[in-house]
Amino acid sequence: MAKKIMIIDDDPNIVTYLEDIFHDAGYATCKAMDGADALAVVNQEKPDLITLDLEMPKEWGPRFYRELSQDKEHGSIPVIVISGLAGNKYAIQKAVASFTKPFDRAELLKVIKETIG
Amino acid sequence: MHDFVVSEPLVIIAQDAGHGKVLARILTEHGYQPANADYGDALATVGVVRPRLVVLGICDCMQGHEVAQKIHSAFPEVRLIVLVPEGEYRMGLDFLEEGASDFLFKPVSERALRVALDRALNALEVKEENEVLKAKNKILESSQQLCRQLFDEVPCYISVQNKDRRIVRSNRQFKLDFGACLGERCYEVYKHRTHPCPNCPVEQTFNDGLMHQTEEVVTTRTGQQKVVLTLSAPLRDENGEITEVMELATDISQIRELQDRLTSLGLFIGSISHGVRGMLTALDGGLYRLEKGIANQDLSMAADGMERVKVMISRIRNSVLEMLYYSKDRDPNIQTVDVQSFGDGVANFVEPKATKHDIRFQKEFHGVLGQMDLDPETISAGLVNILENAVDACIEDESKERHFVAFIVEGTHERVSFIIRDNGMGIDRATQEKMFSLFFSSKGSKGTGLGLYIANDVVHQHGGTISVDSKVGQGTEFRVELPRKRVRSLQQADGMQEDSLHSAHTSQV
Repeated sequence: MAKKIMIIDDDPNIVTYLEDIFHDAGYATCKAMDGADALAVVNQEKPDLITLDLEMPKEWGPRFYRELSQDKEHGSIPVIVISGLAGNKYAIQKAVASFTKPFDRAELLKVIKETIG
Repeated sequence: MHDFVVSEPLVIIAQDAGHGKVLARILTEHGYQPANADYGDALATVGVVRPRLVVLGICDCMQGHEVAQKIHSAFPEVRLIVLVPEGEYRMGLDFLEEGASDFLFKPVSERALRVALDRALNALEVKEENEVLKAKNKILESSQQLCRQLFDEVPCYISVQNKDRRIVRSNRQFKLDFGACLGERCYEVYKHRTHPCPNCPVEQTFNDGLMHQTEEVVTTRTGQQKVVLTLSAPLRDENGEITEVMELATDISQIRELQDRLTSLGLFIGSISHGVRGMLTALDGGLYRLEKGIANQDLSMAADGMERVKVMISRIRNSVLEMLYYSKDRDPNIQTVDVQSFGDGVANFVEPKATKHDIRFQKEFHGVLGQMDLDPETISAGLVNILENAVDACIEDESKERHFVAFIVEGTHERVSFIIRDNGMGIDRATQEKMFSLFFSSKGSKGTGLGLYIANDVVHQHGGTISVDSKVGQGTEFRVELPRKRVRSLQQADGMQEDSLHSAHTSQV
């Protein structure tokens, strides 16, 4: 069964873009448009990896990450930060990797492959 | 009187040397320093001694007159006391007419001579004092004139205020821009307020005697708004009590404007970078679909990709244009547009966003529509900005179940009003006061703080007004009123004046 990547980003255009490249690379996807809904989606979809935007209208990425990491069942899901904020690598230090938008597609897919296969 | 005449040099002119010596001895006792001379060396002696007083004994009337005249013409400041033979009253008067200060009959008594000399000296002192006073007066006058000139010509507004904050003096520049205003209160004149401003520097100076500084926006009598830097300084009476305070206001509007522009540009680039990064990523996404569609001969996917690319390019374009708007003054590109289709175009921009968030979008047209002159690009950007804010205000508001945004266009023959009404979260007073200022945003990192500033700016450029009415928790109404025909001649005639007239209409929030 294909590995599932969960996309958290408030910009629908970027969600579509990530869905496109992940599908084309053979992954399944699920999504949440902001941090507030994201935990429920995680519980339901049980993704293998999460890509996380930092700046979202309702709940800001790092807060979601804190809640996620305290969750016993899902706390160890690897997270990749994809954000437009400069210096985003400092926001979530335990992230597998941090990408600044606009990101390098091949590099992103390479990191995902290394993380979840 | 003795102290008065101590060491006073004096020349005694007498043909009879013996007589002269007697006089000299007497006068020495009275504290004078007499020098004796006869008619022949009279002028030379006066020239050497340079006395203020000369005593001239007359034996020969003709010769006496000659000497007197020579002394008067060579030393007009010298006081001459003439001793004439007893009974020669007429001769004495002749000497007085020629300029002598007094005459005495011979034989002269010691007392009479002393009194005459003292009187002559007194008169001299008074005259000298008078001259000193005259000279001082002249200096005073010219320094007063200099002070007045400095006060008037300083390129600042100076007002002197009493404890009631009433203006008791003001300089020319102040009178020119704010009127004579004597007796009126500072805050009435400068700000058209009915009560003192908070943190009034003049009040603080009255309280602590120190200099205070604030930055204020004041309105001239022609309605021009100016940013001024005000400094207050105490004026004290002879007891050191502060009776009045001087307020000096320097017009720094141009500096502020320049500073604002530079700051805004810097901050703007910083603030849009996050948004631009998102847009560039989404552009990558569109290109990815376009390429994939072409590679797979999937026309619908290619078209979808193309559409995404177009949307993103237009957003990036808008951001760049906003930035350009700030980097440089631009002239509005005035076109004649059909009001209804212009309004439709503006509404079409925002309606999808409202609908997407389940907000009822209402579009209404009333009154005379027809055509109007405006720069469609900047005005529509301004209106779209206000409409998007209205949609955001509804999205943010969780207190109501149903939300609406109404876009109402009302026309008369002279003006067209664009009214944007919503029942969103409303705007608090503090935000209302700042909302049109440069780089103010209530939206955190999502706002650039430029939208409403641009809207306000372009509306004023068109000779229009923006006003806001809002209640927290109930909603907001923006009203943008534009003249149907833009008055262009005014701006061309006097750019500064045009600006000022626009400023006068600034946001009645």
